[in-house]
Amino acid sequence: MTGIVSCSAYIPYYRLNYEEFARAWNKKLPKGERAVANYDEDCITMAVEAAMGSLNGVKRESINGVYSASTTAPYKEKQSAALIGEALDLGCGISSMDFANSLRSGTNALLAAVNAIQARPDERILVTAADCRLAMPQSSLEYTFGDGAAALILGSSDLVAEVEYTYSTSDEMLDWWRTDTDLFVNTWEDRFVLQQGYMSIVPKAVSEFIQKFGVTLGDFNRVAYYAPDPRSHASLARVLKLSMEDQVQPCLIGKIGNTGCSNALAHLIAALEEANDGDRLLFISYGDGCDVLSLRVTAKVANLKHPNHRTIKSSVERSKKLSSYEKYLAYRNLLSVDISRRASYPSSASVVRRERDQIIRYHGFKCRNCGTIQLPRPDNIRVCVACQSEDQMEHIRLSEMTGKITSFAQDFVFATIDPPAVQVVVNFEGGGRVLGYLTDVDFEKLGVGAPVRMTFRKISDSAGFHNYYWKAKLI
Amino acid sequence: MKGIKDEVAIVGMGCTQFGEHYNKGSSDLVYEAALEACRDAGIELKDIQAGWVGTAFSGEVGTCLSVPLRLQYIPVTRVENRCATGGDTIRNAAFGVASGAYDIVLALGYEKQKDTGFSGTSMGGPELHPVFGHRTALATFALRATNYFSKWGLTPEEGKAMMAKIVVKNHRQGALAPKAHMRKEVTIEQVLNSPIVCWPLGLLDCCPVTDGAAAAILVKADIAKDFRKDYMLIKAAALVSGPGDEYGRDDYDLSHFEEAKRAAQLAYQEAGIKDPLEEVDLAECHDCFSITEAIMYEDLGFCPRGQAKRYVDEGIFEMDGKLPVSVDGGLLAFGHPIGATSIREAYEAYQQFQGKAGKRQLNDPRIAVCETFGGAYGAWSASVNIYGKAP
Repeated sequence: MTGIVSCSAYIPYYRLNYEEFARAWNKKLPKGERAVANYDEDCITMAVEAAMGSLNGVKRESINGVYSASTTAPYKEKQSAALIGEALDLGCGISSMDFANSLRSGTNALLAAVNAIQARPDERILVTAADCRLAMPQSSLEYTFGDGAAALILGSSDLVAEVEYTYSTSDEMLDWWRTDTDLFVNTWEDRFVLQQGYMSIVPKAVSEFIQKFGVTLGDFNRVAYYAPDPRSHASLARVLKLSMEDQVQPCLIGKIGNTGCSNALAHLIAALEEANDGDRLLFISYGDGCDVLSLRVTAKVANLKHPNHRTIKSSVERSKKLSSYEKYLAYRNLLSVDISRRASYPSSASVVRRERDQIIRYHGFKCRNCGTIQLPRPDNIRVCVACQSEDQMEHIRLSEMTGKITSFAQDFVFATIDPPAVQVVVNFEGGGRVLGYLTDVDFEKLGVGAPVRMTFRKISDSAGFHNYYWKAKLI
Repeated sequence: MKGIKDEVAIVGMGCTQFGEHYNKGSSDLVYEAALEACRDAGIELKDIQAGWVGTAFSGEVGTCLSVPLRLQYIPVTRVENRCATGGDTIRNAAFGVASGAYDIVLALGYEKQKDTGFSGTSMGGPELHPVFGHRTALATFALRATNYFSKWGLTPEEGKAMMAKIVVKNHRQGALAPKAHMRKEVTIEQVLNSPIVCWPLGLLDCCPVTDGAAAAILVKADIAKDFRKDYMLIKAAALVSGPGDEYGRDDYDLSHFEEAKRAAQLAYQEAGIKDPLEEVDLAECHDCFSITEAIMYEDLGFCPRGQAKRYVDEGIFEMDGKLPVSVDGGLLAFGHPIGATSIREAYEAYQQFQGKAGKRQLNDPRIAVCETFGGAYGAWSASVNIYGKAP
């Protein structure tokens, strides 16, 4: 049996309220909010965050592949999956693949993983989907889009849900698209897009699924599916004659936005987090056709309810209001902002390669002689800081450590689009201390002794490539 | 380790006006300080047998000294130890003389910082590192303040008030130093209300960015009286470069700087000083930010750990206090052209011993401690030179 071993979705910290769009454009808008990725986030960092959540209780050595999906990957030529795997500190003997270009790329990756596991049942594959799509300012897509990521680990043992049936249709449609030179997502007339696209293609695929496998919609406890907006979500439920109260997984778009290729998976994960042993789930994704899956939930789904599992519910709830629409534009580089001539951000590809364990995998060193944990500074440690033993260092992974703030500064002069830059000194539980930056800052909770954990973020675009490292964030 | 106590003397010094010199380049600053030092020592440029030039980033290669001065094919070493550069420049020049290799040498420190196009110092160092390449000095010291307040139970208001008193003292002293960058007194209110640049530091808690140069002519002590009666002796020239304990150890106490403390201990040992608060007559220290001076009181052994606030409140380090610190305004008011600063500190000691300190003149000072340190969060080079009045 192939199925889901673990899953976790990540929604960024900031929310921009529809009121801000209404103010900026003098519009009348309904109530709602959308998730906005911080300026130091992109699809790779969000995928890593979601994947870290899904690795809870799963041994890294058991992961044999990373399939990452996005329509807004930060590189057009350079694999996201390899970088995601490295940030997660997975081994190098794995199969890394990127899936791209479609709102269905997340479930394309999911189905490819299911097929791969069926061929090699001893393996496990991590699937990530992340999107940070841009809509033209003043458009209606602007406030319904959202940034977010989802991650699932597929395997054939210790499953929280088993895959029963899968079905795909390929149905080309110009509803939402972005050419290779477009910055913003394009769309055709609303009525055409919904009538001829989503509201026609999805019911057709569902009907074929039902016929093929001899099931009825009433067989399913929960139905989770992609929708471009809350109204379409409700319309599809009506057309399929699903019960909004009992069956349909509630639409998250009014709280976090349509998170692109991770949208459908986010709703699946939300459904799984609420599901019980024996439940049957129907899952539908859309984009130039449909991917349809049905799943049977097992008793192990209780793992997703464990207090230390990072749920999409906690991600949705743990949020902070973004102060203005202009900040959103600045974060997404849609507005040039003055960050002073002070900036000097050097980098070097050979340094990043040589120090990839320290920089991307966030390895520190532990002295075999005295046990002292020390962070890599300046680069490779050959002599122990505590006992001065030579060449006694072994690597240890620090990305999952938690700690407390020992001291901090709020720098209004540091060249950043979002001052102040908060520098922190963190002491890790179990030893080790790091100097770093705090992100997703809640200034009310910032203080000496505040608990933090680490998160993978983008530092700069120096030297013509994306530079990543780990920052702290308040727990 | 023997040290070089009383083996080397300074017989001439020069110091440019410190300030924002948009109309002067490095060559101008170097020339002015060097010529003034030579004239003060009664020598010509051609008498200099070897040179040491200290600059953090305003010049590379010894030629940044030999070319502006047209020194005729003599050895020149460029010295760099971030903010400890000037002290280390004097130290190395002193070794050149103490070794007997040279008779008359020039130690000069300078920095030309106002061509960058922005206020404040630049970020980062020379490393091509995606992460560690960017940092600001501001944040590095601001978090020392946060830590100091937290460790010693000061509320942010109490901490900022302590720092403000140091700022007021140093600006009052700077107003009495004609060559200082900032020569206007400030009030506690002005300091507390100055805009926050990096919490908890406000604008006035920070030293300015300055252009300037300072120079010294060094000779062996036994021939110093041939140049002048009121020469200055080097009692100790200590330098410590740290091993990175501050970065690597999770139990490092962030409310102090170990390198500064150890450099001071080495210097006191070399100079034979047992009780600094009693035996030292004036001190210049590294007040790049107000909090740094507070911490230096403790690292230099002038007051016990955690007692800086009390000593500040009691006026111990005021000009009329037990041990005047930053008598010429320090970095906060005199300014901080990085390579020049430690030599400017020596210049104050020199003027004080000669009775030429004008309105800043202390009563018969004989021993001066001059300290600076530089680097980045995690590891520092600290320089502590001790000077004495000629017998």
